[in-house]
Amino acid sequence: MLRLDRGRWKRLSAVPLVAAIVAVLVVPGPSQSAASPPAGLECLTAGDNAFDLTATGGYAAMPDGNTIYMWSYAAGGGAFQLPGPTLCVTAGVKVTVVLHNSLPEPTSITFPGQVQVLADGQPAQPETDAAGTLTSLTTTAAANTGSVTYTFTAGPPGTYLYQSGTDAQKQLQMGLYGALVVRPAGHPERENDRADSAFDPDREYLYLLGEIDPDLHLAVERKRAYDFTRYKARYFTINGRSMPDTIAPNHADWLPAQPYGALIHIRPYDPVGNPKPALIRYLNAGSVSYPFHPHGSDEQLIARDGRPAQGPGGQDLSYSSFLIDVAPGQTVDTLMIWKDAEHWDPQGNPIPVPLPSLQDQIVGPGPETWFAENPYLGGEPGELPPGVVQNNQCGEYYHVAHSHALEQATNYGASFGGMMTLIRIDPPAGCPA
Amino acid sequence: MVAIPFRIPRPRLGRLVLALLVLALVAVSIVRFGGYADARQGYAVPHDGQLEATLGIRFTQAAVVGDGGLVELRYVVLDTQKASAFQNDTKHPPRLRNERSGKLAWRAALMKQGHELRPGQSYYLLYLNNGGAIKRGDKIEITSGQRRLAHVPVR
Repeated sequence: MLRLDRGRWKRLSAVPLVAAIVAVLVVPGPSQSAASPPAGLECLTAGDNAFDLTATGGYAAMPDGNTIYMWSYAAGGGAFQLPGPTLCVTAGVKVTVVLHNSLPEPTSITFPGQVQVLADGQPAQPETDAAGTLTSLTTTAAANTGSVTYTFTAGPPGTYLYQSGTDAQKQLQMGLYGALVVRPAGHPERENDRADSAFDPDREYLYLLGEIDPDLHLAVERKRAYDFTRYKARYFTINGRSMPDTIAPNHADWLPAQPYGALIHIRPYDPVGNPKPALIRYLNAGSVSYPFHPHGSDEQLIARDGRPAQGPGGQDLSYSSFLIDVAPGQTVDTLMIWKDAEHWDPQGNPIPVPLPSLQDQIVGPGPETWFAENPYLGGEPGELPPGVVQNNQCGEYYHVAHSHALEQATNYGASFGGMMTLIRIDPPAGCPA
Repeated sequence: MVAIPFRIPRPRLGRLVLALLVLALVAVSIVRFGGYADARQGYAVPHDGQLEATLGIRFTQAAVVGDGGLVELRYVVLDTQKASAFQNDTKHPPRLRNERSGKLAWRAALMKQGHELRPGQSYYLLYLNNGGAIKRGDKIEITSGQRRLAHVPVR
């Protein structure tokens, strides 16, 4: 047995102490380690394009304090999440989705826009009950422990829903939906095969729109009947979240089952430094149209339901709109840039309207307080109250984006909430951390 | 195997060095992490009964959102009438002071007036995060009128 004298013990004990001190100094503090992941679309990919999804129950948090029992899809035996994981594949590849069912009733997945879907190797088929009534649009996995394997060849590039096809009125409302992104082969930086659909891969966003009638969810949770003639949605969501949770980071601590944020964070268009637009993928998993209004910036609608906006000869039929009206079951893809159209400049091209002096502004909250005391993006602040050096982080600009059916921009009737988020535009040089 | 004799020439100096190292470890740990709140585990906002009785609300969350550009302050309504007065006093929103750096976030960016406030329901204020005054993991002091609520962790 190795014996050490006391001096050696002391020397050896000094080594881990020094190492611990170095580690404490080197290891990032909580603000770094807990830093939010970047906003934007988060893909679930698989090398063999095979995905395991488990239909399961869990709880979603609403900003007003309510907690809603939901059904949705967990990825690969992981935790429940709303919406289901965003599956990303390339056009033309064979895709496998194994659905495991832990719900107390049969369920299934349909893939609108994908053709020749097989279920356990056979063509996926609608199902009926003994009386011949349609119960499912496609092959189901049995209640509690059933599973079914769907395979298909990914269709044209674009954005698609995947969703329950069983008792769809109820199961879709319960949250059984997610997004399927099909990327063009060889051009993952494009929305579709057209060269003019190129976007900045770091500025790709998901707006998966939905709604919740809490009474239905409570009935399902308590295994009670629900009268659909009394259906009334009270919560309206983007990626399973409502404002202000939509502007929280992806994987925010307080939203463990709602991992996807909906903040758009861009910089102004610049032909050299920032030439590519952001891409926003809209999907409607709800029961009514959501007239989504991006407010401060029009968007260029380039595709709908996985099909590019083009004529028979390939002519560009995309168009700019201030209203992206997404119908139930529909997807719409838009490109967005934020352009300094008038080139305002405090010296060479000043805004010809004198700014009100500080005392003439309402110093306090209100619509006007999105203002940083400087109308020029990233400019030096103007007159500020004593002791205040900056009104926002770095001279950035925010505007809201929301459903223009204003009841959909509420949390159970309380605005601002619901289907609303923010678009943040940083100064051309970016925003220092 | 054979024990290798090792002798520190000055044993008292060795003990002193070890003690200093232990103290140094404690000190750097406090300096490095002492000012931070645990943003993930067991998040809880301190309660102040007097503040709650005055304002009719209880603060439940402070969070950095908007990719760092905004701070959200969430509260639950305890007393509808008092909470309505608090909510409608748009000229005097609570101020947020970073306890680590002393920096302030003072300018509320989004505050909806005129709600029919429901007891038990949560509402929020958004602040412009002036110059990145508040970061995730900080602790802040919330001041509203004469009332202060200290050590509020920021998620």
